[in-house]
Amino acid sequence: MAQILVVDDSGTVRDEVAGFLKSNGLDVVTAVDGNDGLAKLKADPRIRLVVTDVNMPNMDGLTMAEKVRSELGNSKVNLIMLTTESSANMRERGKAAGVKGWIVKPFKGTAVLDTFRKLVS
Amino acid sequence: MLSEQGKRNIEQAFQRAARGTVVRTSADVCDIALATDPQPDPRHGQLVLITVSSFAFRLITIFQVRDTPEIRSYYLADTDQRGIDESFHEVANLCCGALNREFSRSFAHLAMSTPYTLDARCISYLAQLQPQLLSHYLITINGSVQLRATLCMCCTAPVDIQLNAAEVEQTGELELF
Amino acid sequence: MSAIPDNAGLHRRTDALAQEVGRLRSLAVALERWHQDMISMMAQNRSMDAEGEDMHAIARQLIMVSLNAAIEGARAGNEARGFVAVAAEVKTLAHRVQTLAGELGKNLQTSSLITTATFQDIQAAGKMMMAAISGLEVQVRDLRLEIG
Repeated sequence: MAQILVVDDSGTVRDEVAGFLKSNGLDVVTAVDGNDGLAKLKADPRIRLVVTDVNMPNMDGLTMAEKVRSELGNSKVNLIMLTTESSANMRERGKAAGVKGWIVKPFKGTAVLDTFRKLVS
Repeated sequence: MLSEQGKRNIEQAFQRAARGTVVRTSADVCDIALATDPQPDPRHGQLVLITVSSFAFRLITIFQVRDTPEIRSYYLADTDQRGIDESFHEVANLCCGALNREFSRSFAHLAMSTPYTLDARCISYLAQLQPQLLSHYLITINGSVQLRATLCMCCTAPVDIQLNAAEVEQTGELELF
Repeated sequence: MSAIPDNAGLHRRTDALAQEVGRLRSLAVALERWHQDMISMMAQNRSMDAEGEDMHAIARQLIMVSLNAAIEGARAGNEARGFVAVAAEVKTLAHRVQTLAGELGKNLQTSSLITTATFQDIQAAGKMMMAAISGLEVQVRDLRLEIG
């Protein structure tokens, strides 16, 4: 039973983020793009938190966030963007899609662990 | 389309972005020098390309990566069997991201592509894109790990680049909405 | 004293504006279409690259074959003069194929570069436009709040 879904096309990032969270006692699954992310979320609706990149092939993270609400009808799961993008307009698009927060890469596990724990409980 | 000062501003911005992102730790020393030509090495090489687009321009950042023992041992864990270009996709993403964020202080409408890999020989044909700026760099990390990078900017309208290096960037913090 | 705007009229206009901006979201559909086309083009380029490499390899082998044929022909002496002439013709043609394969390779690399650059430009610009639409929606929402 997974608590967190990490979505990123980069294997390095998936390993780093999922690895850090797992070593801190959290249950994590990963996905490689927006399509895969939606499939994994559909397969395990008990996932409480999705940490996702924006720039991914096939389906980007913001489109995925929009579809989590519209196609999956999931309004409970918390979405956090982990991305190199930072523009005001993109954040607005995130907010409108119900995204909970924004992290500019690189990932600093210690800075976000407490908040992540709160978001999965 | 692009003033000489504008070109210098972009080159400096790229060097700032690269310095912070091509190294694995802040303790590593990174030297970036202008190179006269790209010197593609087709026997071992690949290109990793990534684009930042706005209405008036597209800015392509290109890393030339060669699968050498020095590069592998610097960027990949011993157990990692992946191609070197794959791990470079994230380096390119971080470097271009830093450059993108610096640009976005002057341009409200900007976005990045995902990175792609191409054969190293393709770099000889960049002139076909008719760039206003084409600069090549030699990056040396800790005196031993070498990579080449190219910056290619194509403008279809006049672009005024005012970049401000003074602002220190905050990364890694979670901003809750 | 300035003219007081017709509040109901303003509301109608703002609603119409909000609707129009909402419709712009369908830009995503056109973007998806261009994205699919570019993916096809890139796959085509990769196939052509592979075929170009094959051509190069075959041209090299053909040159080797023609050289061997010339050697065999020389060994066979006068009886094989016709054979030697054919071998020489094959060698000339093989060199032409090799040159053509080289030109094709350069053209394919140029094509791959331009296609990839265009793909990335469309991908990035598409995201920029979708984000710009979100920015507009926020402006319209704020305008509605201000009108009351």
